[in-house]
Amino acid sequence: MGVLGRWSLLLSLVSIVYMIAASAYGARRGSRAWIASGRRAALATAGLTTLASLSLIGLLVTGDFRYEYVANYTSRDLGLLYRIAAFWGGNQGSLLLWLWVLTLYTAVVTYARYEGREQFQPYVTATLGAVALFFSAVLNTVSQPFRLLPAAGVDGAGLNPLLQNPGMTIHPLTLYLGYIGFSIPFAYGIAALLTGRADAVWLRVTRRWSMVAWLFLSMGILYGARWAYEVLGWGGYWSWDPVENASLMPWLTATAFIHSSIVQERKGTLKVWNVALVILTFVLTIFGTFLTRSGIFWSVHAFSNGPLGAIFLAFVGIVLVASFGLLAWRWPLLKSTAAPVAPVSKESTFVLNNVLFVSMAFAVFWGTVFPVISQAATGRQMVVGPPFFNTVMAPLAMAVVLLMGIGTAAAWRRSSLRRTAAALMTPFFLTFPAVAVFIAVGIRDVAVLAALSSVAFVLAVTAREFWLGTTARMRLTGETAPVALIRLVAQQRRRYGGYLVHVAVLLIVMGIAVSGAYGIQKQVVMKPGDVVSIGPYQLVLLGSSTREEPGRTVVYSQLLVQKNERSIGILQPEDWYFLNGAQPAAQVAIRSTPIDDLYVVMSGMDATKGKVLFEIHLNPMLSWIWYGGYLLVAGTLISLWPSREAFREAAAKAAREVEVHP
Amino acid sequence: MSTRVKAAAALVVILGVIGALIWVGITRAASYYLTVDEAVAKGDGLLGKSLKVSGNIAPDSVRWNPDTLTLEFRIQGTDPTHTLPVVYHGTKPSEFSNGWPVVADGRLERDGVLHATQLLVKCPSKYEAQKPGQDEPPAGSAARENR
Repeated sequence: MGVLGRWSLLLSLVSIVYMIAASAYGARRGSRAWIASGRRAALATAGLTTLASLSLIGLLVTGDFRYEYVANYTSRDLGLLYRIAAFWGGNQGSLLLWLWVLTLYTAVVTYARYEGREQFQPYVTATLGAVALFFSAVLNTVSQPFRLLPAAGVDGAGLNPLLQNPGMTIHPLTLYLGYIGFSIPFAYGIAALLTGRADAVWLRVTRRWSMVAWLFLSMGILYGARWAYEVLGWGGYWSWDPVENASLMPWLTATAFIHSSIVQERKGTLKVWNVALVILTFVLTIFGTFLTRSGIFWSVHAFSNGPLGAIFLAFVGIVLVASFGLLAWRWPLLKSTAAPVAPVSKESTFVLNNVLFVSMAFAVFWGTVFPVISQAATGRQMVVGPPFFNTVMAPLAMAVVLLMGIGTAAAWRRSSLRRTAAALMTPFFLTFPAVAVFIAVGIRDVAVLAALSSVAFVLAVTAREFWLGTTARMRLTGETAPVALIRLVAQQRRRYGGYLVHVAVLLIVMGIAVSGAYGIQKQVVMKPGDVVSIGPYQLVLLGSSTREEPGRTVVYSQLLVQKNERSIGILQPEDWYFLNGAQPAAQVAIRSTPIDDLYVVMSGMDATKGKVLFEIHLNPMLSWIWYGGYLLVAGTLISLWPSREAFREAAAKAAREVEVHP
Repeated sequence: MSTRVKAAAALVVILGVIGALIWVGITRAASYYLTVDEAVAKGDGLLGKSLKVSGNIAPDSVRWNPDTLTLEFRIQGTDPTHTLPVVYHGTKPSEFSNGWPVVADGRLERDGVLHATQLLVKCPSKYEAQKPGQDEPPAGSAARENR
């Protein structure tokens, strides 16, 4: 099985080179035969990487410890799910996953039908091939997944316990699907530059793919935050770790693109800017991969040191120089002919939105690479931590929230201040009772009040859009309110799906602001029978005990949770001690409600005195971040769902093509 | 003034504000990142400064009082005579043992003790599995944070 994998991987190198060469040559010479041959090579490449990936999964599942990768990341006692998850749990495997997904995407894009495909397809296939070539070359040389051990092992080292969590099997996968997905907008951007046609066709295809990748990346980031919260046991979900930042930067630039592409679609402006954003987003995904593998940053996610860091950095450099060089060369062709953006209009709010998002990406980038830059500039290494990111990002994020409200209310083309202000009037006055409620429930922190009132304001603006659309429909069609609302959303999915994503972001902002400002934590030493209060809760330590499980000894405590002198549940935090000597892992106990999360970690135990050490957090409204996450996924899916007309059109086109080429 | 000039001016102002925000944030929040050897060589010049110091946990220097939740230890440089006392209030990281690499983040007070607000213990990476019988964590491995 391993031999099959190794050969498939080696052959993939050949077929990728052929795919690039045939597509590029075919495009230059206008030869349909060569282009078609390049398409078949894309399919063959996807087949080969699938074989390689399946054989690695096969080795992991059957536990073939002759292979280094299997021995490093699995063990005999590991369950099936985590054996499969070990595929992306290690360095080589995760790179193979990258190549696999990339070539699958390439095959899909190569064979996808859309208007204007003839011009773009060979260039897109060749560009994606160039990216795949890099990964395939790395996998065949410095980072081989199918390397044999000098002597076959009997058992493996096992997957790191912290990765043995169901969320952890999904988080990297969605993150990779997102990261890799941005290769496709990039390939279309390069194709648009090469053909000199950064027009409507380019935009439509690119925007859809960007949103798919954006959805996966958002899910990956949120899953990662949730995993950190539930598994790492420090009570938070985001620590501004370099690798977390690495996933946030492309998310920010992609969010900017999703908005600015609407302006190009409507007005034909911002062409160069949009291509630049797409290139930047792709470069940032590769940069993120570099951060995880370079070993120059300390991070919870770091892979081990090696030459990979330098190789990835070189690739980032090549991509940057080549694509922005191409952009500079094509600049005259892309210069927009349309009128400049009116100062008060939806367009101008979109431009400001882009300035904010790109600035946020820059702030994150600057803080992340600051140690390296300060070292180079002054010879002294300086670092910035969460305080830097929080002070810079909080005001920018609040500006984004406010802009979300203004942009939603502002009209396209030339609007006036007066008209925009009139549209914002009702939401503005609705904000006051909301603020009164916030103050009544005890929120006094000015920054949090400002954030929450902005959120309430934008919620009102968004609700007004739904209200106006629904009532207009009711007048026109005589439908009842619920029917009108559902049909409104169903008929303008992109728009109203987008608004739902806005609401989701508002929920997430509320969760971040309130839990960040009003979270409390306590460290306590308790004996059985002791009571500790946190917020409105009292916790009574009932007792501690141990139990044996395969591969580990589990120490656990039981705490009775009381509120208003009524018992409402039992929390059971645990500490897992692994027999193979791996670092112990704390299992957090969480009682999560929409109002607050009670979060208990058992951080130590003095068996001789019968004392147990707990770290207790009370995180108000933190779960709103996850609710917002679910709504974000739903809203994006509604927005992406193809309309009935698109289905009909695609079917009709397919039928026509069958008639032409029987 | 044409609209284009006004728009450009507005953009410059906005970027200026954001740039200032980043600049102020950096200057306020940045701290020195040093090894113990560098910190010892600097001596008293660092008193009162925010520091992030990396080194190894000096053998048999760890004193842990679970009743007051106080962790005291010394970090040691590549030259074992270079040491820096550290005090940390909070729970003891579960993998806190002699010789392990650690980064202490805090302020070097007048008493010459680094009052840490955060400890990062470098431990075997979550991705690179620990080889059986291996005590020393591999270089460049991941850190676990304790706040």
